[in-house]
Amino acid sequence: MQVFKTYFKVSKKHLGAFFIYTTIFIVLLSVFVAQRKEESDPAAFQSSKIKVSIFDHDQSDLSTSLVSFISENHNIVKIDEDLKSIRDKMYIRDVEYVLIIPEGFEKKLTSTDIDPSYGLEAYKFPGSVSATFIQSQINSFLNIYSSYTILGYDANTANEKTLETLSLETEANVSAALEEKISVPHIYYTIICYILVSVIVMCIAPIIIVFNKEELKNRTNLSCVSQVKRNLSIAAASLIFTLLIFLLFTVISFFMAGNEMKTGIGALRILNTFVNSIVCLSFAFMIATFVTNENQLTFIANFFGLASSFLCGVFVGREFLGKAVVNFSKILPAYWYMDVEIALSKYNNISQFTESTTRTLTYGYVIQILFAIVMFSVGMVISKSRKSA
Amino acid sequence: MGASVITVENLVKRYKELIALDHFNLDIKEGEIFGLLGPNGSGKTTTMNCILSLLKYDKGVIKIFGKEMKPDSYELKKDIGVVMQNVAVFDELTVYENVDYFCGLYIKDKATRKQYVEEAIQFVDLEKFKKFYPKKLSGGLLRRLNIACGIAHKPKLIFLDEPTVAVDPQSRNNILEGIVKLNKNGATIVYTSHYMEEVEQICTRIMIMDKGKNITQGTAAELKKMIRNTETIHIEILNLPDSVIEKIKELTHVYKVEYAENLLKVFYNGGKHNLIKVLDLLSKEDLSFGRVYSELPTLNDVFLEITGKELRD
Repeated sequence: MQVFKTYFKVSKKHLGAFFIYTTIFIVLLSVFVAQRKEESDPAAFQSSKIKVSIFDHDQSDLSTSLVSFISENHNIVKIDEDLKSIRDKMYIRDVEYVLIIPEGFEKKLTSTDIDPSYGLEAYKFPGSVSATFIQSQINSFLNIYSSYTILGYDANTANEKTLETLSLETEANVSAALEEKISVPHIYYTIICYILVSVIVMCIAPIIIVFNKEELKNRTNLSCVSQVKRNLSIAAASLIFTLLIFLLFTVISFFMAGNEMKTGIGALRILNTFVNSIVCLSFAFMIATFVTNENQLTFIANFFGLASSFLCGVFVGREFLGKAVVNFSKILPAYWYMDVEIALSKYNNISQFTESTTRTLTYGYVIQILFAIVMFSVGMVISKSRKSA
Repeated sequence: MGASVITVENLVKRYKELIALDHFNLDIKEGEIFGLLGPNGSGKTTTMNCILSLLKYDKGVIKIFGKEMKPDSYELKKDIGVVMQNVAVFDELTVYENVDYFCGLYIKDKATRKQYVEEAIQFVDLEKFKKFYPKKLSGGLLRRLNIACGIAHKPKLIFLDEPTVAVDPQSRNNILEGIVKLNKNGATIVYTSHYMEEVEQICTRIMIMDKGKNITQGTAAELKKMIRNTETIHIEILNLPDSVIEKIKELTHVYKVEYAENLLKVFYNGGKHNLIKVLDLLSKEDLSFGRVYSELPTLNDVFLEITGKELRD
């Protein structure tokens, strides 16, 4: 019990890493969520307004209506109508598009001689998206207006009908694939793969290193506490510490993802993270057997954490990684964690699982457990060989 | 003399080709401060580690309090306290927490433990530093903390392995006084050091070791009696004629005379008032001299005479 209690006293001195990585995690998570939402949230769409100058020399009903239509959708800027002034204002980006409606424009449009430009003149930046956008709106207006006049509507009715047609809106549905990308639990349980390895290794390995110091180990072995009891105490305390870290991050996920975590998929995500936590604990145990100081430990934890996160698709989607990289990453436990997470992210309900999904999940969990066993065994072998040396 | 607390018979420990302990025997009685003296690498720490079952040995029998000592002799370990050569404390725990940790490895009862921890801290005079972390302590204070951790559970047998290495003279005296106090409180002490003055100062019995063997043992006085030298007189004198050196050699109990770099060394193997006799002779020869001093034999002389080399080599 003395070793067990002291483990937690010593752990207090190593909580700095925990707070640092938890902060990094929350910041990373917020950035990722915000970024993904911005990329794919339809609610985030905003139509943009362009700075336009119009010179109406026709002053007809049609030209007035066109000017009114453009004014409603864009910002009208008043400038002098001379080439120098137009060039200056465009150069300093005060105006992005200049439209000149010539005299007789309405007559020309309603005549049978169809000029694709309807006699309109425009100044714009070459290759400008804004100009193309407004040009397309003007063309739509004029095409629809022409259609109504051809159908026999008078100028006023054609004008009203055109504006009515252009004001129509269509409701768009977001596809399932898009929704998948912005799922907060998916983002959370993807980034946590990096955070768990860093937090668990940086919190637990230094404590094990302290207890493994030759002098302290010998001194404890000279007491009434057997070596087995001592090792069991350290193992139990490490496991509890790992569980506390795992529980904390699980609770945070409930706060961040809410109802989405209260599903079968949520439970499987938690199970995946639990298995991954055990893998991280085994990794911490293994490196604590050969690492002697915190600098080496920080290097290994950061290197392993970042490298495996990049290679296994935590920071960068697997679709962007080369086939060779993906194949290589199979030797890392994070690959199998991400395999499970990617599989889970495709579903909203367990009942939708296919046989292949179930197989992917089973393989993912089992292989991670095997990784944990292997790393723990390697740690034991190193520890024993050091002892006999 | 009390009962045997430690008995070691024919202990052999090899490190591959190197024989660290060669048929080593030891018998330490209750109430002793037993000093293991020898140069670095003589086998002192190996002996201690074998006795404490920290090291596996190749041959021999080790008994503590009459029972064979094994790695799992937890009942025996309850009565043993160890102060290792290298300070073994947690940097992450305060002075109090460190002593409490080591005491707690033996004492389960909270109230008793609290009392013992307080007493140990008081014993090494670290009360002012209870809440300090080891990194804030000086070398001497750190050694004292190391001792407190080793003795807090009030063991009957205490091993101290070079506890004064790299310690300032004041702290060293404090530590030595503390060890004597522990012994007076009833603990048997096994003290290893290569500082012969310390061993001579506090140990009731001394064993001199070299190359894993027991060279000789006894009280400091007994060891000194084992050698021929009883006194060495040093006299600073200029241009001493060979005829006078010959006359000094003929004085009673003189067995060797050395004269080099204006320093005369006269070695005696007995007798009293030797200094008066040699000064009397120099006066008669009308020779003037400078600084004069007399040296009694040390344990280093014992070691030198027996092994042919210095203790501090």
